[in-house]
Amino acid sequence: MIQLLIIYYFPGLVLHNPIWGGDETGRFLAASVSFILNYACYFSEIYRGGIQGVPVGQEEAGLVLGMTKRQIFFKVTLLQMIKRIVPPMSNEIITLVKDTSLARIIALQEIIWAGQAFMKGSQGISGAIWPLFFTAIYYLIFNGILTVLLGQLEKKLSYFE
Amino acid sequence: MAILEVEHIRKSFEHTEILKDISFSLEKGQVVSIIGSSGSGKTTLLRCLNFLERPDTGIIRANGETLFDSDNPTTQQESEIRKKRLHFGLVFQSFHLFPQYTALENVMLAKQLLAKEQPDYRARKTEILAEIKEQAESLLIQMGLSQRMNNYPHQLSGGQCQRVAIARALALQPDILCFDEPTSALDPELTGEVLKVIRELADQNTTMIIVTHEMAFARDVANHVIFMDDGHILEQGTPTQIFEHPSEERTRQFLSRFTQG
Repeated sequence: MIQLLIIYYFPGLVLHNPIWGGDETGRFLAASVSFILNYACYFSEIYRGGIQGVPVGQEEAGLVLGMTKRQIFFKVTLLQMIKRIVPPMSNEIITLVKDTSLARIIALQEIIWAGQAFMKGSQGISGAIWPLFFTAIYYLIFNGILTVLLGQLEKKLSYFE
Repeated sequence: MAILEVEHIRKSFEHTEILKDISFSLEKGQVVSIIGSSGSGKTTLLRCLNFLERPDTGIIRANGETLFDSDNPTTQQESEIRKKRLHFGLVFQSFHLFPQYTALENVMLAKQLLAKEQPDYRARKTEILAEIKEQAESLLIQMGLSQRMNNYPHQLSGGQCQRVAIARALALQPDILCFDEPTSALDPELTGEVLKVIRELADQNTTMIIVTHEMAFARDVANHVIFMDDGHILEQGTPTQIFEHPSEERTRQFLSRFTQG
């Protein structure tokens, strides 16, 4: 959340150069950049762990068979690494979906914002909890689909150990 | 002419000297077994021969060609090392098969990748690939795995995995096949089937270096035995010489459990 705030406000407040602009597009860009930076860190850490998790013996076996480092990476290491990183990646991707709700801190109209707008009656309905309830359903469905897809990928890779 | 000559190899890790002046040579068709206690440098020696470790000093020659000379930097170029490795095959203690490929694919992979470097690869692609497949299949049949070609490594027993690994190493037709304790990860029954395969290879005059703790096997299969202790070659000679009339006290001590049993 702090990253969102800093990335959105820092250029304007400190550098006097509000590169994001004040409209919805600007907010969306700022939010995207924040999430990309933040999750790139988590993901690269997962990738690193995945590559390191492949036993050294695999590379040595490749070397002894006269393969180049590039061949070893693409033909031997890569698929084993992908298999290793699918479960932690699934977690992160699902967390990312849920984390998009943080973007409301810079007044980006994300899904909960929209739900609340309905609750406040700005669209003609008011006082009901149901709009918020339906945002929850939205998260549930979206993450449900992701879980199924990632589960299928995991299953597809389970032909080897 | 010796197929392999090793002269004055030394290798240290940090401050521990693992190999202290190792020299030996090997004739074509000869089977050498290297015995000795754990930590005596046997594995490191094999890894040096396969360029997985770089010796600090020394010379390695195969078929008269100098593969490595610590005084000659041109023999140490990274780009050349890959080709030089092809003189040697290495079978690991823990197999290191590629888990995402079937037994057959494991045997074919390296050869397929090498074939891409042939100048006529594009023109004769199907032909070359068929040859590779045929060769891999016959190797696996030779290893007694005709029923197992399309199984993945996790569906195979340790002994079967190790036989696939041997076929994989043989597929590249190395001059010298090295075994690094090929049976240490196997139970006695599976050990038997792997040793049988190695013995067959010895009968076909495959040049081999076998690091092993299977003393009876080392004695039977080898025409030359090297006893290593603490980074030195303490003693070497024919199996009869080493096993029945060891001249060094340390060798006697090491073999005492085996000869008593």
